[in-house]
Formats: sequence, C-alpha cells, structure tokens
Amino acid sequence: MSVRLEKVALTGNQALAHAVRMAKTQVVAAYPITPQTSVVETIAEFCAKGEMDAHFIQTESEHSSMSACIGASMTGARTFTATSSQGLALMHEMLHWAVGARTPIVLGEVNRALAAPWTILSDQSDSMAQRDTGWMQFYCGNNQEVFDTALLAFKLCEAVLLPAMVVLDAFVLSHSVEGVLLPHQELVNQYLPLRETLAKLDPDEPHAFGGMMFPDVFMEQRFKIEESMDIARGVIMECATEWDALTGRLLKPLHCYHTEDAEYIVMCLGTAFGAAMQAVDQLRSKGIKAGAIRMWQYRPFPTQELIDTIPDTSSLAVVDRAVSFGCGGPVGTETKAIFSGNNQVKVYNYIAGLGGREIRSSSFEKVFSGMMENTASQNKINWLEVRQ
Amino acid sequence: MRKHPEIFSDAALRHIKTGGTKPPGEMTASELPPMAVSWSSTEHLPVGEWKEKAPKYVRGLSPCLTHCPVGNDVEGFVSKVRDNDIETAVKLLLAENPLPATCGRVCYHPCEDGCNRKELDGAVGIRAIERYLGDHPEFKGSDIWQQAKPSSGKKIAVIGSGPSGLACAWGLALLGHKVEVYEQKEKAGGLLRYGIPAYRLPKDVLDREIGRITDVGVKFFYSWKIGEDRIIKDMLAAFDAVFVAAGAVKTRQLGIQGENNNNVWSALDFLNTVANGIIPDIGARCVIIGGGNSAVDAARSARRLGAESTILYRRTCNEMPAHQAEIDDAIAEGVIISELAVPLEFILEDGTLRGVNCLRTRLGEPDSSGRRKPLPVPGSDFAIECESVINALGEMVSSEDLTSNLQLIRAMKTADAWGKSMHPSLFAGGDFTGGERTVAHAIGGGKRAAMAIDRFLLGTKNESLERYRVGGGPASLASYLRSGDSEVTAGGIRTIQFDDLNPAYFPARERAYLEKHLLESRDFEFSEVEPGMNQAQAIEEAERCFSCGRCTKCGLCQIFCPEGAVRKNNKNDLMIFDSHCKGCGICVEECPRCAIEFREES
Amino acid sequence: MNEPQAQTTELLTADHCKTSGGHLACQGCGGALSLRMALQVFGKECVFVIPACCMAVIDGPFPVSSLGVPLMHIAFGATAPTASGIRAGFAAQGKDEILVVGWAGDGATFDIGLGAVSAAADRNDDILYVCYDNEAYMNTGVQQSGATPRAAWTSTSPRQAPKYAAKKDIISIMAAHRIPYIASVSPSHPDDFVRKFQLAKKIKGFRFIHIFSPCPPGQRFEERNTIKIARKAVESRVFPLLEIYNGKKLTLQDIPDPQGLEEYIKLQRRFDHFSTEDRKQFESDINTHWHELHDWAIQSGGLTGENGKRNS
Repeated sequence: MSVRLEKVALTGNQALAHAVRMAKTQVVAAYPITPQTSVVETIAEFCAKGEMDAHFIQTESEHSSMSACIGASMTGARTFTATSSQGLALMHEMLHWAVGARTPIVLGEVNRALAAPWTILSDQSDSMAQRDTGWMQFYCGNNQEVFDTALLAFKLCEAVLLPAMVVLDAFVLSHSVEGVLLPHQELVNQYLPLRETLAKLDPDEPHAFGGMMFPDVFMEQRFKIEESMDIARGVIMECATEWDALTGRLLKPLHCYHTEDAEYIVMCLGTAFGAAMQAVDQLRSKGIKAGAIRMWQYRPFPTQELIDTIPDTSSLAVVDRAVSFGCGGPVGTETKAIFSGNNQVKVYNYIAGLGGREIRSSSFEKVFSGMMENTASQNKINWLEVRQ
Repeated sequence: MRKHPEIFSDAALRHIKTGGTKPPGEMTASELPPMAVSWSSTEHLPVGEWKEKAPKYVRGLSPCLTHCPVGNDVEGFVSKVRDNDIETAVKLLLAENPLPATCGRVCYHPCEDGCNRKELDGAVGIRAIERYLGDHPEFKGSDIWQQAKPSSGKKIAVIGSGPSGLACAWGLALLGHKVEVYEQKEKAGGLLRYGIPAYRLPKDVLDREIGRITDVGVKFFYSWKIGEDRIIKDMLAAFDAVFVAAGAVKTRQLGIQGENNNNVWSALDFLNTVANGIIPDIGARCVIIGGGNSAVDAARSARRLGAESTILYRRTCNEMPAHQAEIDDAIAEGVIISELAVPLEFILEDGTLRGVNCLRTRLGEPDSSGRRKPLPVPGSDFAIECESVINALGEMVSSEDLTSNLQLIRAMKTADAWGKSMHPSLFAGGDFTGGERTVAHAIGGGKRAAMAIDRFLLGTKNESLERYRVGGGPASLASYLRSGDSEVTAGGIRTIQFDDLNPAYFPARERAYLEKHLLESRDFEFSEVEPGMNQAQAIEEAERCFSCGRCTKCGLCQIFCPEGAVRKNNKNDLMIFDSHCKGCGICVEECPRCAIEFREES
Repeated sequence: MNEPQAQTTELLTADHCKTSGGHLACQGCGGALSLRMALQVFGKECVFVIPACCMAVIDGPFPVSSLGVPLMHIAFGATAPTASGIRAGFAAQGKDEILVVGWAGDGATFDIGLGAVSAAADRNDDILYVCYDNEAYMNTGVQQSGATPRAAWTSTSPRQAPKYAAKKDIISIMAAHRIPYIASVSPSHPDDFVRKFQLAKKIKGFRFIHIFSPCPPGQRFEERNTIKIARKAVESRVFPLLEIYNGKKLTLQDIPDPQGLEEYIKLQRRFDHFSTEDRKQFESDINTHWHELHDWAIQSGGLTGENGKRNS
C-alpha cells in the first residue's frame, strides 16, 4: 500500500479528534471541560457533517460519560471519551469499573491541575491520581504523537482488554497548532480493523457481567489485570513497530536524548522534554555528560526499559508535574523503587511545573546542578523554583 | 485476533459457552475469563431450604356442595358454565341428578342458602343456572349413558315414579342394571306431575326429563296398581331388588264437621285434577287450610281458576313452612293470608258449603318444632264465607295400600338413609320413608338407594357407602361410579367459609333477577311464572361463583410467586417446585378461594 | 379488582419465563416479583442494566445469573447513562430492535442517579428506565431515601429523628422532562402492570416506569402480605396508578372511594410508632399528591376505572 500522507495544521485536541474519526469510533460520550472541550466539539462537528459515523452522547457529567462508554463498549462498539482534571476525578469510580469490566475504552486526557484553588492550566496531577485504576497511560510530547498514540491505543486496548488514556498537556499541546501528518484512511483501516469481541451483551448469548465475586476468585481477577498489563508491554511494542513500518514513526516507551554515556540525566513526561533537551545541549557544550528522557508509556510502567537505559554510576533526576503529598512525585517514587537495590544509580525527585508554572531550560539546568553539586537531596522531595 | 490466550483462554471461553467444569474457586487464573461473566443460571441453588412453612394445594369444600340434598356437584357445574363449557356442565349435573330442569324450577335451593357469596352481595343464582342446563336441548340421556358401567344383567323394580323413584332408576341404569318402573298413574312423575302446578313446573319440561331417563334404557309401566297386578312379595321374587318410593298420598284429616262435603277438597286431589286439565268448580271464593307449600300451590292455582283465595293459617306468615318466595309470589298474585286462625267447622246450607267458622289464635311458647305454639283465643270466633275449601294440612304415607304383609311394612318403614330395609333385597325411599319432604331430598334418597342396591347386587354390601358422602353429607353418584374417593368425598376435607376467601378478587356484582310473570288477571293462566336464563345470562351469573376451596387454575399463585416456583406439570396441574419455594406464603395469602394451605415444614 | 384477564395470566405464566428460580431475593420480595413479571412481557430481546441495589445481589454471584437475559451490573448512580451507552452501541451496530432496560431502586433513581436519569430523559434516549421503589435503601440495611414517606421508620430516620419531608414526587420530576411515556404500576394489579409494560416496550424514546415494590424486611411486614400491601397502597391512594404522555396528558386510575389506609399502615411495622399527628400528616401528604394528580388528570387525560378501562 502506498503511504500517502497529508500534513495538516492541527492543535493537539484536533489531532486527537482526527484519530478518533479515522479509528471509526462508534460511540463517543463526553461532557465539556476546559481544556478538553475542543476534542469533543471537533468530534461532534465531524458527526454532524457526516464525516464520522459515530453516536455522540453528551452527558450531564463525566461520571455518566464514562458509564455510557462502558455500556457502549460492552455491546462491542469502539468507544472514546475525553476529559480533564475535575472531570477525570469525577470519573474515578467508573474508571475502576471500566477496567474491571475489561472494556477497551480510549480516553483523551488533557492534563490540567486539580482545584482548589481554581486553575485551568496544566500539570499531571489529574492523570497521575488515576494511576492505580488499571488504565494504561501514554503521555504525548507533540501533536503528531497525540494522533499516533490514539490510534495505537485503540489497537492495544482491544488486544489486551484494558482501557487507555492518551495524555496531553493543556494548552501547550491541546491548543497549540502543529503540522500533523494524517495517513490515508485505508492505511488506518489496515492498522486498525473493526473491533471484535468475545464476550458482550447479546440477547442470543445472555450473560450477566460484573456480578458479585467472592474472595475465592476476586484476587485471580485482579491478577489477570496485572497479567494483562504485563502482556501489554509486548503488545505496545508490536503495535508501535507495525505503525513504524507503515508510517516511519516509532512510538517508544522512553524517548532518550544523549543518555548512552550520560552521567546526569533528567526524566520528565510530556512537553517539558523540549526544555530538558535544551538544558542537555547547554551542558554538553560545557563538556558535561548530560542526558534527558521523556517517558511516553507510564502505565504499564517501563521498568525494564529504564533499567536498560540508565547507565550505571549515573545520577537521575525525575521531574514530576504531580505530587503525592507526604511521599513524593509519582514517577520519582516509582523510579526510586526500581533503583533501590542499585547503589551506583542515584535517583532524585523534583516537583515542578504545577498549575501551569513554566518549566524552562534554566529550570532543568538547576536540576542538573543540584545533582552535580550535591545540593539536591535523594531522600527528600526537591521543590523546584519554589519560594520557600 | 485472540493473540493472548492468557487474557481470554479457550477454557474460559468454553466455560462461558457451556458452563464451568469445576467451581470457580478451584480454577486457575487462566481458566477464568477476564471479567465476571455468568455461565450458569441460579436453578441449582437450594433456596428452598430457607423456608419454615410450605404451601400445599388443598381441596376445600364449597358449602353449596354439602348443602345440596341431591349431592349435585354444584360448584363443578357452575364453574363449567362460567368457563362456557356447557357440555361438561350438563354432564356433571346429570351424573348426579336426572331432574335438573325440575330442580332448577321447584327446588328450594338450600345450596343458595349455603353459598358464601350471600355474605357479599347475594348468593349465586344456582337454581337458575341448573335450570338453564336442564333445559339445554342438545344433551340427551345417552350422553351420560356413555359414561356408565357395562350391563350387569341384574333387574330391579322401582315402585313409584316420583322424584325418588326416578333418581333411583337413573342411578341404577347408570350403574349398568336393568330397571323397570311401576307407576300407578297414567304418566310418570308422581308429585312432580300431579302435585306441583304447571305454572311452576310445565308438563313438557317434566316429559323431557323422563324422556332422558327412558333414553338410558329404563322401562316404565303405567296404571299399575299394586295389589291388583302384583304384590310386593311376588316382585321380590321376580327381581334382584325392589325399591319402593310410593310417596305420601294420604291426606291428613281436618277432623272437623263437614269435612266430607263435595266442595271440601284435599290439596292433592285438587292439584291432581287441575294437572289433569280439568277445571274444578270451586266457586268465587276458596279457603285453603294449611301453611305449607301445597297450601300455597293450591291457593295460587285457585287464583288462576278465577277464585278469590284465602289461606287460613294458625300461626303467622313468619312461621309458614312454605318457602318465602312462594308466599311472596302468592301475596303478589292476590292471595289473602288470614293469619292466626284455625277452622272450627264448615258452614253448610242444605249440603252446600257457605263458609268456615274460625277461631283466632295467639302464639305461645315454642313447641317441640321450635315454632311458637298457636293457642286458641276464646270468644274470637269469626266466619269466612266461601264456596270451596282446600285441605292442605299435608300428606301421610300409606304402606298398607301396598301390602298387608306386616313384616314388609315394618321393613320399609325402618329403611335407613341408604334405603336399606330389614329385608335384604327390599329398599325404600322418598316421602315414603319420612325425613324432609322436598323434591331434592327425594332425589338424594333415590340416588343413595341406587348405590346401596348396587352394593347389594355386587355382594360387597359390607363395605361402607359413607365414603361417598360429600363432606360427610350428600352422596355423590359420580364418585361412586368411579368406584373411588373423589376430592370432595375424601375424609378430613374442610368446608370453606366466607372469611377463608380473599375478597379482593371478588368485586361486588349484583345477582341477576329475572322478572317473573306473575298472575295479573284471572284468565285460567297456568303458564310458567319464572323465566329461564339464556346462555349469556347463565354465564354471567356463574361468573359470580367463588369456586370456594377449589383451584380453578386462575394462575394468581403462579403470577405472584417471586421465585417462579409455581409451575404446571405435564398434566397441566399446578405444582410448587420445592427447591425454589422459599415459603413466603404470598400464594397462600392471595389465593382467592382458599385452595392453598401453609403447613409447617417437617 | 378482578382476577387477571386470561391473556394477562397466559402471558405472565407462559413458559418463555426467562428468570430462573434459585435467585437470592428475600422471601416475599416485591422487586424480584416485579422483575419476573416485567421479563415475561419483555421476552428475550432485551438487555438489562442494574446498579448497586438489591437486584444486583438477587441475580446471583459470579458465575450464576437468574435473569436469563444479558445483564450489565453498574455503579450506583450510573444506570441511565450506561443504558444510553448500550443503546448507542447497539445503534452503531444496527441492533435497534433490542430493548434496553435500566432497572434501579429508589435510591439509585430518586437520589444518587437522579441527575443522570434526568440527562438521559432530557436526551430522550431510547431506553426503558424502571424504578422499583421500596421507599428506602433496603440493600444496605434500610436507610432513608428520597422515596421514604414522611416519618416512616428507617435506620437513619429513627423514631426520635423522623424524616421531615414527604416522599419525593418523582413522577412530576420525570413529567417535567416531557418524555414520551411515564407509568406507575403495582404488581398487585397484573392487568394494568402488563398493559403498561407492553406499551412502554413499544414506545420509542425515554420511558419511565415507577413500580411500587413492597419489601418485607425493610418495611417490616410478614412476607405473605406483599401483594396485599401493594394492593392496599393502590386502593388507599398511597400509590396512584397513572400514565403520562409527553409529560402533559395524564390518565389516572380513579379511586373514588379510597379504602384500606388504616390496614396499610397497620400491616407495616415501619409505621408502628405513628402518633395521631404522624398519621394525619401521612394522610395529608397522600391526599395532597392525589388531588394534584386528579386535577391534572381531569384537565388532560382523564380518569380510568378498574383494569385501565376508560370510564370518563
């Protein structure tokens, strides 16, 4: 098949909407919230214009939009929703349900800080707060990746029977226009065939779904979710490789910048990576072996990839845009756990960029100097650029 | 598409499609499906063990069944009419009673007195329904004959063709015996033909009923005078058994002067004459003495002959033994009732009756019959002018007319409830043997005798017939024909009272009353007073029947069972599936007719 | 009332009954009974959504189910949107003929799921939403809900601190959405029950059926009295049987001569503590509601007699 590409100027939200369209999503249920709203507005417009043959349900809350997605997914339909922040928090109960029901729903999550106080600006505390629900999470670095990740997510979810969040930073991606290559529909069709389901709501084969489970099987059920997460690690690679073969774009759990020989590495998720790379360039120009990592795949956690990537005897600063108060940044805490038996890798945890505070390259330079000058603490949370 | 069998294994899929092979608690994660998905029903869960009490279908007795002296399956035929199954209704009725058209007119319907519906809005019009069925032209005796037993080769003589004799003959015929009925008069029917006026029981109706009996092979011999043709002793020799139901034909004497005057009639003679189509000359004023049904019959007949008729009764209207409805109709037709009066003597002028001298009475203390005793009031003499008098004091049995053999007379007079006398092959019934003198009682007695005779002929006389009594009361020929206990004749069966029923399902619904054709002129009018129902009316009236104590398969127990534990078996009978019934008792509570009982679990 | 009509009995006792025995309802459960009756009307081509409520337990734990039709268990407040999602999923696959039923208790409908029910009604999604109302949170041990009548005992509205407000008027709330069809039914009146469910099954759009569903342990009465209490509720005007078309035209089964209120109260121990004042207030709540509905009916759809026969 010829790879005919069309480059379009799209915001991250529009890129996501196009992916949902091209995935031939059948049911979309959503509730408006800034900065997600333009995702579903675009989808609603596609539907209205007949460019997309989906049933669009506008609910009265995110709790209900996730419920509607679960219902629709249980019929075997391909299903999508999008939300942010408060909306995701309100969905929390149903996020668990979607996983337990093994519904392969794809959720576009535009990162926004949680109130109070009110803010509509970005951080990752909303999605990080849902890390224990069993949803797979992918944090995107640019609008093209948003598009590619969304398509991969549908394919992946339907294979492993788990839902996934395609996560993008508020405004920096959601409302910023970039050139996005849209593949031909036939290529998408080839990559993502229509969904097939083994067990669904079907009067010809009546089953009850989600009935009470006693302790004699409940844990096996939870084990199977974990097992599927493990399987997903491999499936993600397969899906990414296939997409790479079709488009020449490879989605990777970790995007690495000069890490091979690095002595000091910063790691972040999302768009802060650009500033991190600038800081690396700045330090490399001074002869310091600096590197940076962007974690795209957060759930399942890329444990082996990290072990393989981080050179021995290096220092690693994990910059979290979320905090679990009283403990640390989620990614930092989990990364520390991986290297807890390795005395040669020093892991630092920084909290930065909450509530839309900008993370500049100078911010990352401070992180590097913290590691190099030993002013950062390995045992405490390091709050970056906070007036203490 | 399923690349990852760990997530959704073939084993798990198989469980979903066909049910699990072992308890889920023993399955490995890979044998389990990824989500909680059911693969079997709850049918096998033993929730029936929760119950402390269990519902059971139990047959109770409708009071109409025990109240009917004939032993009619009243609830049975009424409910079949309700279901518009007229054929079965007729068969149920004829299996117990060969004279439904007659009873449907002249029976004083004790069934209706017992009917539980009277507590709500009036008893079901059972008699009218019975009449509708009895009048139904489509069903012949042979329809019932097909149900009967094969021929036994035995031959029985029945003496008297009144209701008792006819019922006995019918019963014996159904039981497979040859029956010959011997009647003194020119036609069959006895009291029915010669005692009950045509305006209550038209002769053609009676003819049809008797026709049904000849249909099943019963032979009738008329104008057969006992003592002239054969005597009882000869008959006992010639037949395997003899049933005597010769009635009560001897009029009780007034015992006052002038009684033998030509214009002083006995009620029996008077009614007999009218029944024969002869118009007796009773003048313009007629006095009838007595308070029973024949007094009222005579008074109303006299009205129809154009006379002013006055009933002279020694107590008040309230104590009259005649049926209240008859008294009411009589009054409506202009019959005068002179209460609290006894005749002293007839006033004769040159042998011509001119009137009756009477004395007033007052009511004293109750006598042995429970009614207050009339006491003459001295000096209260008065006279009623009249041209004729009818003596309706009542009739007595005269067994001496039948035989002079004292032993046989004694044997007949001491016949028991089953008609069995001290002579093994001699049976007796009807008014002849005493007891209550109604058509229904006579039929019931004749039927019982038929069963007793059958027992005697089959040589199993020691086996008690009591088990064929419905709730210990009237006997069921149908049950006897089946040679077994029926639901209604089984022991320990309870009679259902109004309070046992669930009135929620019985909205008030007025009983149908058809307008009577009461006598309006003095035009020698003997056409029938009471109209019959058409089929729609009969069904509508039958719909008022509660069917007390009998499951009608109304389905409420099935509808209201939260467990779905009430099911129909392959015989279409309702049954309770024990392992699902939790014993809530909704079925017991809701059953409209008390056909389910709650019993402690053992 | 009468015994049910022949066609009602035939339908409700037909062998196509989908529910299995052996389910886990308490003895005399009005909800389980209503579900069984409704399924007899629905037949096989339907899908149920059941939230957290007694029915989620009654159906049976994994791997059993008594319903016999597809069933999706869902979180407490999520019945209506889940049903909407299922409808949309089926619609996307051209399976418009499948009836989608949300079957929820009064807590899920009057309280936690009310906003979601309202939204689905507002969208006029093509689902049949059924609320079986036992007037409290029975599954969690009898706590007060918006459907609890004033001053009735529950474990969170004990005698010393009774519920202040009258039962929430869910019918008027739903009517305000102008949905195509609303009906109230009682399992004690099978003819009416069947007719309304049959109608609801046929109508497109959002349909709402309110079932009066006696609960022996929660309302504290003898199990055998379930139907009796449901019947008394209707006959005493406690639970009016009605239909509302498009939120406007109301037909009310008239109860010209209300009866049995005293027995209705007496049969249930949740009313045991009623003072004369409580009793008066209870009756006044019922009368107020009845007269509102009655006036509405007179102005719009009219009154009907026994078994839905029109008599005015």
